[in-house]
Amino acid sequence: MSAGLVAEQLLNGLQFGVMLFLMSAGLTLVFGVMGLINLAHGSLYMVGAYAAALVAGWTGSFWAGLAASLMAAAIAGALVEMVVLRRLYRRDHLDQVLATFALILMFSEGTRWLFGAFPLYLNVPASLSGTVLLPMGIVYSKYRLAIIVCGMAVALGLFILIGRTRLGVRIRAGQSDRQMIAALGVDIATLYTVVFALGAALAGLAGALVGAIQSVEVGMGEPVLILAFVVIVIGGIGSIKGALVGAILVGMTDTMGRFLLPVMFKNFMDGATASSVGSALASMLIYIVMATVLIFRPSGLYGKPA
Amino acid sequence: MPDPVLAVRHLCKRFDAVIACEDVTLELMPGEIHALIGPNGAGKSTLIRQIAGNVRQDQGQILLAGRDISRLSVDARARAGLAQSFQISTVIPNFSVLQNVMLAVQGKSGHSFRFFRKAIKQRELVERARSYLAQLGLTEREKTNAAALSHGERRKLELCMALALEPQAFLLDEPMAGVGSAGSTAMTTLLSALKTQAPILLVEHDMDAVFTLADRLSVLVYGRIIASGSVNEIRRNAAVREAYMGSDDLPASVQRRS
Amino acid sequence: MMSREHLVNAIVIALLVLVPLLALVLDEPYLITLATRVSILAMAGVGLNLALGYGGLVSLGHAAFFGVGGYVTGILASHALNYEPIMQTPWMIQGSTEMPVIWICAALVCGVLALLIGALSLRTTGVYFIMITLAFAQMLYYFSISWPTYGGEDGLSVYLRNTFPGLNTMNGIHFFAISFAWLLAALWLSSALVQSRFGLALQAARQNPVRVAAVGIAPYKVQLTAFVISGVITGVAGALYTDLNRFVSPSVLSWHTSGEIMVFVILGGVARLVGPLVGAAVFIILEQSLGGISENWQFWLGALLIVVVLHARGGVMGFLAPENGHA
Repeated sequence: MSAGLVAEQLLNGLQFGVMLFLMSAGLTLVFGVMGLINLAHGSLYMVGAYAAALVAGWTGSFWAGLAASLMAAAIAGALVEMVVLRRLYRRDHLDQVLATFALILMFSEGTRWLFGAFPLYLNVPASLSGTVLLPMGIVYSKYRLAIIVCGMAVALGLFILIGRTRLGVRIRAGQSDRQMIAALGVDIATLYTVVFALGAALAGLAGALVGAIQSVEVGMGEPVLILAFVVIVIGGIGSIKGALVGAILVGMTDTMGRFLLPVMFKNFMDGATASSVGSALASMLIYIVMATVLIFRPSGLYGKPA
Repeated sequence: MPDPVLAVRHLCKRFDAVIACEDVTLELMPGEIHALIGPNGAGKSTLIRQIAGNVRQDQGQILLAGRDISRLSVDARARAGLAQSFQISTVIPNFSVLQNVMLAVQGKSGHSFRFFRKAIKQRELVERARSYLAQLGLTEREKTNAAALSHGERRKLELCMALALEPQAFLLDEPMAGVGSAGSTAMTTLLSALKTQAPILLVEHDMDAVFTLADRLSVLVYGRIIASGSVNEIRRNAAVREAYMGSDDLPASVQRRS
Repeated sequence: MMSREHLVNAIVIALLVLVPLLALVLDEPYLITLATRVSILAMAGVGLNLALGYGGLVSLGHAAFFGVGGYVTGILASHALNYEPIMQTPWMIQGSTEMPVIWICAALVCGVLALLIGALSLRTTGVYFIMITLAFAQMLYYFSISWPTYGGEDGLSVYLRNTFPGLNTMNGIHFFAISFAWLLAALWLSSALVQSRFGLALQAARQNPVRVAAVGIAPYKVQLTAFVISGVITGVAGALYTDLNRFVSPSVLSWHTSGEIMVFVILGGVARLVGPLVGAAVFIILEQSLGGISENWQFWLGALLIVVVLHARGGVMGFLAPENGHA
C-alpha cells in the first residue's frame, strides 16, 4: 500500500467530511434556532443539484449552475418555510417528522414528474478538471481539492457570520432564548425564514458540488441526509462547531473504513470473503462510532446536556 | 436518643465554579418536621434533589434508616422509602386523580411489570388508592383529569401520591408555594397530620408556616449549614440574622421574597 | 353499553373481514391480497403505536424490526429450500419452512435487536432518540446491501410460501386468515397492555418521567420493555410480509419503510387502538385509487399528509370517534 494512495484516501475523507458539513450546518442551525427537525433537508440538496445540472446544461457554464443551485435551494427553502414549516415550530417532533417526511414525498415525486426518472449529469468545469501535484508528490483531483477549499471557506464564513455579525447575534440569541429575541424587537418570522434559506442554500451548494462527481437523480439527498443526522448527533444538535468536528470525523471514518477494512481482513481470510466482510463492516462503522459517542456523551460532543 | 430516619453526612456538590453544597450534615429524627430555610440560591433545592437522587452528590453519604442510599437511582430511593414533592408541582396531567394515586400505589408495591390484567379492575390497587384520596379529602375529584385541578388541589394530589408510597421520610420542596393564605393554613394542618405517618424534611419560604410546624430548623447559606436548632434557638442566633441581611424581623423579611 | 370508539373499532375490523370474503365470492383474488397487506402493515403499525403512541417513543427506525423479521423468514426458508444448514458448528442449525418456527425465530431475533437498539437509544430523548433509531435502522439497511450472502441489493426470493399445519398458505384466503389472526392477536395484546399496570406506568412515563421515578418506578425499564414488545410485534409482521410477497429485499429495511409505518399510525390516529389499521387501510386505498390516476401518487399523498398534520391532528380516528380522555 503506497503512501500516495493513503494520502489520496485521507483527502477523499476530508472532502466527504467537508461536504457533510455543508449539509449538517443548515440542519443543526435550523434545529438550534427554530427547534425544527427537518427531514426534507436532503430534498434541498437535490434541488441544488438539479438546478446546477439544468442551468449548466442550458448555459454551458458550471459557475452559472453553481450560482443557480444556491438561489434555487434558498428560494425553495424559504417557500417551504413560509408555507408549511413555520406552522410546525411549536408542534412536537412527531408532527415535524411526519410533515417533513411528506415534503420529501412531494419533492421527490415532483422532481420525477418534471424531469423524469433518468439521472442528469453535471460536468466538472475545464479549469478544475484533471489533477494537481501536491507537496510530497501526491497527485490529487483538482475538483475534489476545490471542494475541500470551498467547504473550508464556507465553514470559516459561517463562523464569522455567527460570531461577528448582527445576524449572528440574533441567531445565537434565538438559540438560547426565543422569547428574548422577540423582546429585542427582532422580527422573528423574517429571521427564521432567513436562517432556513441560509441552511437550504448550503445544502443546495453541497448538492451542486457533489453533482459533478455523482449523477444527479431523485433520492440522491436521502443517504446524505441520514449521514448528516449522524454528524449532528455526534457533534451535538445545535452546535456548528460540533457539526464541523462530527462531519470530518464521519467523513474520515467512512472513507478510511471502506479503504482499510477489506485490506486488513485480507491478512487472515481469503480475498473475496475479506472484501465482503470488510465492506459490510465498513458500511456500519460510522453508526458504531455514533453509538460509542452516545454511550459516553448522550448529548453529543458539543451538545448541551438535556 | 433514637436513631435518625434520614442522615446526610458531609455532602458536597459543585456545579463548575458554584458551590451548591459544602460539607452538609443533617439528620431527620422520627416524628419530627425538620425545616430547611435560607435565602434564595442557598442550595436548598439542590440538597433535596441530592437526597432524592435527582442530582448525584460529589462526595458524602445519605443514609435512610441506616442503609446507605447515596448510590441508588431515584426510583430505587423511592422504593426504599423516600417520598418527594417538587417545588413546581408535578403530576401526570392526562391521568385522572385516581390514576395518579394508583401509579404511586403500584410504585410502592413494585409490581409495574404486570401486562394482562386491567389495572382499574384490580381491587387492591384501586381501593388502596381511594383510601389515600379519602385521607386528603380528594375523593370527590377522583375522576377529574389532573390537568384540570386547581393549584391547591394539585399540591394535595402530589402529597397524596407521596403518602401512597408509605414512606419512611417525606422530602417536601415548598409545598405552600402558590396556594394562597387560606390554602396555606389548610396545608399547615395537612402537614401536621402527615407528620404522624413519617417525619418530614421541609423546604419552605412561608416563615409563619415554618415557625408553626417545624420542630427543628437548619439554616442553609451558600451551600453551608450555618445554624441548626429549635425554633427559639434559631430566632436568637446572630449568624442567622446576619445571613438575612441584618433584619430584626426574620419572618417578614423572608416572606417579602417569596 | 358500547362506547362510540368500541363501535368504530368493531366496524373497522368487521370491514377488514368482509372485504376479502366478498372478494372470494366475486372471484377477485387481488382484493384478498390487498386485505392481507392491510392486515400485515396494520400489525407493524400496532407495534409502533405501542412505543410511539402510548410510550411517546418516536422511533423512526422500526424498519429495522420489520426488515429483520422479513429477512429471518427469507433466510430460514432459503436454507431449508436449498437443503443447506445455516450453521454446523458449534450447533447444527437447519433452515425451516414451518411458519410457527419462523415466527418464533423472528420474534426472538427482533426482541434481542430491540433490546440492543432500545438500550442504547433510550439513553437519549427527543430529537436524539428519533435520529438514533433512524441511524440504527440505516446501519442494518446498508449492511443488507453490502452483505452478498443473502442476495445483497437484489434481495432474496422465497419460491414457495412457508407452510402452516392444516392450511394451504398458497391459497389467498387461507393466508389472509393467518395474517388477520395475527393482527387480532396484536390488537388484543396492545389493548391489554395499555390498560394494565404496565400500561399505566408506560403512559405516565410518556407524560412525566421524573414523577414516575419519584414514585418508585424506573421509567427506563418500562420504556425499554415497551420498545422490545413493540419491536417484536413489528418484526413478526415483517416475517409475514416476506411470505406475502415471497420476496424480501433491503428496501424493507429502508427508512421509507419506517416513515410509512409511522404514517399508518399518525394517519389513523396516534395512541388509538385501531388507529394503525385505519391508517394502513387508508394508505392502501389511496395507493390503489390515486395510483390509478397518476403515476406520481406519492406527491398527492405527501400533500394530504401535510394537511392532516396541520389541520386534522387526531387522524381518521380523531374524526370518527373523538377522544374523551382515554385511560
